[in-house]
Amino acid sequence: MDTWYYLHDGRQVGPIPLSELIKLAENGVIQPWTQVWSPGMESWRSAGEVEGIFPVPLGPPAPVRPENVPGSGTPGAEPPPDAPPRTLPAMGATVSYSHVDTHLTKAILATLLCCMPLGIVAIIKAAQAKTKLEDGQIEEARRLSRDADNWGNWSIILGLAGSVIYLVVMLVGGGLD
Amino acid sequence: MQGSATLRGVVRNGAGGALLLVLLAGGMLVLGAWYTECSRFLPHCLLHEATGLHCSGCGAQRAVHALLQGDVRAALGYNALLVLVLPFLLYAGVRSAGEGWFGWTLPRLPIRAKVVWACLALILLFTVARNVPVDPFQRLAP
Repeated sequence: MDTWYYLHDGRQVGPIPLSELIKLAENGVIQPWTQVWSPGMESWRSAGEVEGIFPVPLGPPAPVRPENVPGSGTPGAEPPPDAPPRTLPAMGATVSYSHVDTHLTKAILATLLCCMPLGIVAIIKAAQAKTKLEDGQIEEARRLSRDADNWGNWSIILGLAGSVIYLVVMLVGGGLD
Repeated sequence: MQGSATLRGVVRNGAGGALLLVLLAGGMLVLGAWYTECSRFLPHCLLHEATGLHCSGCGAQRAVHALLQGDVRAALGYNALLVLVLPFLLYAGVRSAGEGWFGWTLPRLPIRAKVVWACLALILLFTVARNVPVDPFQRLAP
């Protein structure tokens, strides 16, 4: 359990022991809003919320992106704009750096089963999002990932609409031939 | 209010859309598998109807149909790329849906940006290749 990871500039650093993490916290490399994770934890958490990293557990830090936390109360100390977003999805049992979903599955599904041109755009957006993510530009990655999601959705909607229209034409017209 | 919160979670996870698609496609394919007369009512690729070109998705329906009947060779003939990526898609779908609905924590596929770009290149190459009417390439056409 003495294995820890933290996010620095969008990159995952680790594994390091807790003692090292505490040292980094003392040096200011790890801030209360730095995301940390250890096997057994359900998801990434702010270092300030995890007991044992900072001398006194600080309360939950102010949300960086208020729209992620509906009805958030009065924020405390404002983290700097480059702080990683507070709410990250669960990482699962295996450590992975991809904490921004790029909706690649949907994009490929859309390309191979539905409306190809829009699906290709979705894959391009997903690839760009992944690239930005690996460069540590999390906000940009999030924006591109939303684009990928939208293009994938429209591709699927268009594909389904096309199928329904085709079906109606076949049923009403008794065939196109 | 538990229900609506769960529903929002499902929609946000994007698993809902993917599952709907899989269910619809699955329903059509099951119909197609048992009632061959229905197969002419299965939707055709609109791009193919309009241009006569084979897109990357052409033959995907028939490929899944063939797979459902256990004919891997025929499936490969209809859309080899789909058969290739289907295991990954299935795993990703199960992982995503399992996480959103049941709180499973299956590991994510460790896909780096390079892999995504390679996928894109592969799909584009596949699309071009299956439209070339010369023997090694035209076998990729459905």
